[in-house]
Amino acid sequence: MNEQTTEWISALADDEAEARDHRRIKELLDDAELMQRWADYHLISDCMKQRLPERLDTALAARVCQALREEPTIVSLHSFRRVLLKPAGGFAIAASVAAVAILGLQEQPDAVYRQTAPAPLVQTAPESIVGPRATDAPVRQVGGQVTGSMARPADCARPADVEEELGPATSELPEATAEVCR
Amino acid sequence: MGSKTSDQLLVARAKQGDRKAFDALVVKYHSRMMNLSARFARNYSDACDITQDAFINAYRALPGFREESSFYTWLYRITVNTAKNYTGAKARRVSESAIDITEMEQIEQNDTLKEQATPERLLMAAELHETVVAALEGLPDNLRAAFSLRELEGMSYEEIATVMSCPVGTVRSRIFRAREAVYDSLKPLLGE
Repeated sequence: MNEQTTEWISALADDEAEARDHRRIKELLDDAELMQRWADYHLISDCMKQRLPERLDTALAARVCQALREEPTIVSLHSFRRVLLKPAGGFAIAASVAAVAILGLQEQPDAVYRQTAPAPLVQTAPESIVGPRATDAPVRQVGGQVTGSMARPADCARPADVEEELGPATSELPEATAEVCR
Repeated sequence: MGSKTSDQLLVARAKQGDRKAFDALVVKYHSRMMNLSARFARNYSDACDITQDAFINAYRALPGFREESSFYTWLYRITVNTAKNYTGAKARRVSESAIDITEMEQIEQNDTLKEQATPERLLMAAELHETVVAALEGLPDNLRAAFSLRELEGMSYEEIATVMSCPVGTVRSRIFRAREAVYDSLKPLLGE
């Protein structure tokens, strides 16, 4: 184990290292000895701050990690989008989504649109071109806010409170789609 | 110092499917979560179960973690909720199964026996603390001061550099050397 690396781990434990050093991060995560040192540095820190449980099972973390192996690997949609929308492939997908969105809006000029959940990008496009659902869906006004399964103001902008409620779903749409909504 | 904290970086990697990044977070926080779980649990094995369930719940919920709070705060909330659900469910199970008091005492006794069955794997916080304090006392003043300012006062390296009138690189090195000295003194207890 080289001293430079362990000194870097010590600084990382204090959030004083260059955390974006991906080569070293990978080295830490792949090396059991370095991970043990990372664990021990945190144990020392917790001990000094007196925030350890009265009794500590040294095998607990290993058991938790083992139990996590039973879980399916997670890949968040946000990360997936970032990978998906990279270089050439991203441009093609963004262009397709924009085209589908334009077609959808032309087909349903009066339809108002509302995304009810931060659905994946790939799901938003088909929804906007399913014509009959847009017109069949009940659209009603509650307290000045348009609701309904396909509610959307004519200028495509969503009210601020809806934006907040729905989170980053549409704000994370590719530029091409965002353009359509302006 | 990097613009991202180590937690943010590990969370980002875990969200991209890097399981080892989440392991690093488990390793970092398991003692603190165990300490928190112990406040809710009736016994040691329940606290272990709560801690494990909390990390599993956190892992499942990770894609939805929007990082509006720190990972620690988010994990803390998940652990509290897991503990409440666990203790609530356990209380319901006990009342529903109409277990008699003798049987309950027997179960409790078994729990205690189970906990005592593997004493070599259990570290006592008090013993660890004594060892760490003794190791700190044996350090040269400048190492002890730098390390204490960091761990006990929560100062940044830059602040410590100002206080100690030395470059940040020196602070980093002093803290590392102090940490290594403490780690060496803990090795026998940790079985390393």
